[in-house]
Amino acid sequence: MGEIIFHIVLIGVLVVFLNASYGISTEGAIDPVGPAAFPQFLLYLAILLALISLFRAIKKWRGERKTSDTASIINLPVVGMLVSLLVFLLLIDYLGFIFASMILLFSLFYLLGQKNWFKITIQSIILPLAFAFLFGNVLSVPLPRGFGMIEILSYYVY
Amino acid sequence: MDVQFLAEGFQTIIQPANLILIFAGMLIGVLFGSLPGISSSMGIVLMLPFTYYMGVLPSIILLVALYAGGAYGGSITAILFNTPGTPESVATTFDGYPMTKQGKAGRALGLAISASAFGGVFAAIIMLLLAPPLSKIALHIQSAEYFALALLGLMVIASIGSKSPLKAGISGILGILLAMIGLDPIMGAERFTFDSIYLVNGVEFIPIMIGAFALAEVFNQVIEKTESANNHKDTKVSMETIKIIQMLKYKWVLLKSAVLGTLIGILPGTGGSIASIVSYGEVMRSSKNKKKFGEGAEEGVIAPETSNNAAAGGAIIPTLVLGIPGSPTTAVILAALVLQGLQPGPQLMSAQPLLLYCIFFSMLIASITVLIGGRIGVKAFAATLKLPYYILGPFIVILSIIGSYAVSNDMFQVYIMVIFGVIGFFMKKFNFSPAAMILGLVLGLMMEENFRRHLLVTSGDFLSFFTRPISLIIILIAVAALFLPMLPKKKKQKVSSLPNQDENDYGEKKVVSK
Repeated sequence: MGEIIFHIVLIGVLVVFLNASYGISTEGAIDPVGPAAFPQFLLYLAILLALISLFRAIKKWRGERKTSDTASIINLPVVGMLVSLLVFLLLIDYLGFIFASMILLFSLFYLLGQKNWFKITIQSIILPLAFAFLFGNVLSVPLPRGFGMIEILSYYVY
Repeated sequence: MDVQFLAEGFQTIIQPANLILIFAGMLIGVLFGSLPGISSSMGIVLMLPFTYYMGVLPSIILLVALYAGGAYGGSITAILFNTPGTPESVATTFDGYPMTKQGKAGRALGLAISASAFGGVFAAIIMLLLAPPLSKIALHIQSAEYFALALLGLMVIASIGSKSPLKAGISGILGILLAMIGLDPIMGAERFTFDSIYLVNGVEFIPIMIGAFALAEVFNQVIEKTESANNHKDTKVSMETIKIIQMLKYKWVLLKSAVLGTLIGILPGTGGSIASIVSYGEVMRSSKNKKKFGEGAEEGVIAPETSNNAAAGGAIIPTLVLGIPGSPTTAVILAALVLQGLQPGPQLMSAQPLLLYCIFFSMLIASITVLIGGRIGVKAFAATLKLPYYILGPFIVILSIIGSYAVSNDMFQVYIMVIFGVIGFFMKKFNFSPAAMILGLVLGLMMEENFRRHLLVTSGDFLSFFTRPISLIIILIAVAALFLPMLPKKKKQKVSSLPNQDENDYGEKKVVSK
């Protein structure tokens, strides 16, 4: 079923792109094809191929249903990882790289199967500091610093 | 070949800092290659953030050495644990693991490392000899041929590099469409920007590559619980030294595999995984004693290992000469060149004449030092396999975040990376091809630009793509590549009795049927 949903989402995205392709300005095009025709051709081709693939996926799903094969596509740790990443992306502007990464790593270590809380805590603190030091100082990457007190603290590391 | 640049390249390479980079790159490559779940593409992608602030030559020297090391690294786990560390080493499991079961793991590793070094050196020399004359020819190649070459690259990966040609085709088109986001290359019209200022300049390759290759793989590993990394307790292995005289026994196998590997590597869109399987099949086909293959034949280790290393070198040729990546991994190297401000294409060699020679020496030295480094490191590499995924996974995630952020010091790139991590995960899950998407992304704009420019010059004469001899030949090869897999199955079985492998798919271990 997952494969069918993926195909439907894919076709949906392609249709959105196809719709957008009709808004491309072709005024004053100097070449015979123009800026819209090439992507439009590809979009129609991709939609056609995706429909064939969807048809095959439905056929396969019907066959699988008979044999009741229900292999899991996604599991709790992956959902947890995604949620952690989203939280990280939401917090990084406020907490800066170091603190947001600590939260992210803490959850990732746990979700991926680390059981020792002491190790999880120590690794989650040391790794972001080490990465921030390496990339912030040695490789001069201006990692996000966060706001207020957190921003001031970050200057002690990079 | 320019002797002056050769000497200058050598002088550049033997600077201590560059030698350290080669050695470090080789070791990291072997390490990443040996860790199941980290392919060469992912290894290079993960190392990219470290190269952003290096100069052009040091960063390329590091990445090329890593690429050469990665091609060998995969064989360690393939031989010891029947788990190919990279897709390129799938064929090595066929005879490498049976050798281990017979107590000949040390010999298999020794053969693999010697064969890898030979393949790497062979391809580096071919690259040095072929690239300069080819680049002169490439300067005469025009839009029609460029379009045809880009088409060939996509057709090849769609047809032979994937489990499902249909899905690989869709993936390739998706990549081209992603490349269309931003301003069009001829008249600068905005396309698919959805009124976002972030998309006006198009999408960056690197965050998409990091997402599709690295983050997606972490999701995949978590799902499949491939904790092979911490299941290998028995790592007491020492490598057997193979003398040159012993390798001479296999001179024809070495030569044949090196030539095949280099040629397949040169072909746009193909890579080491296809080369190693084809070479294995060819050596088995031409062997007098076919029955020993799959039972621990030494040729069965030598052929794929020579070939996948040779393919790594071969794939650099079209990347440098034409700006068309020979494999998904060289697509990442190409993106690194772009990031360094270089313009890939036939002008690259004249604009950066030293680049080729530095890449040559980097590959040469990395291939030779693999002999030393691999021998010293085999115990250490085998020990790293105990590294649990709950350490490795978060490490990759943080490196992926920093790697995509540092492209333009912008969190938007991290969003893109995460989105493509999820997309890449589902693509792989449902047998689409993230590698084809990446090739489409890298080739897409060039393909469209050349297609339209050619039509502009010829006033819309579509037939002119077929009236130019080189363009026609390349298009015919592309069409043949597309329809080859559709040949009747019986015929296909005669050509190869080996399993088809996705460039990025090494989850399933295949056994050659007897």
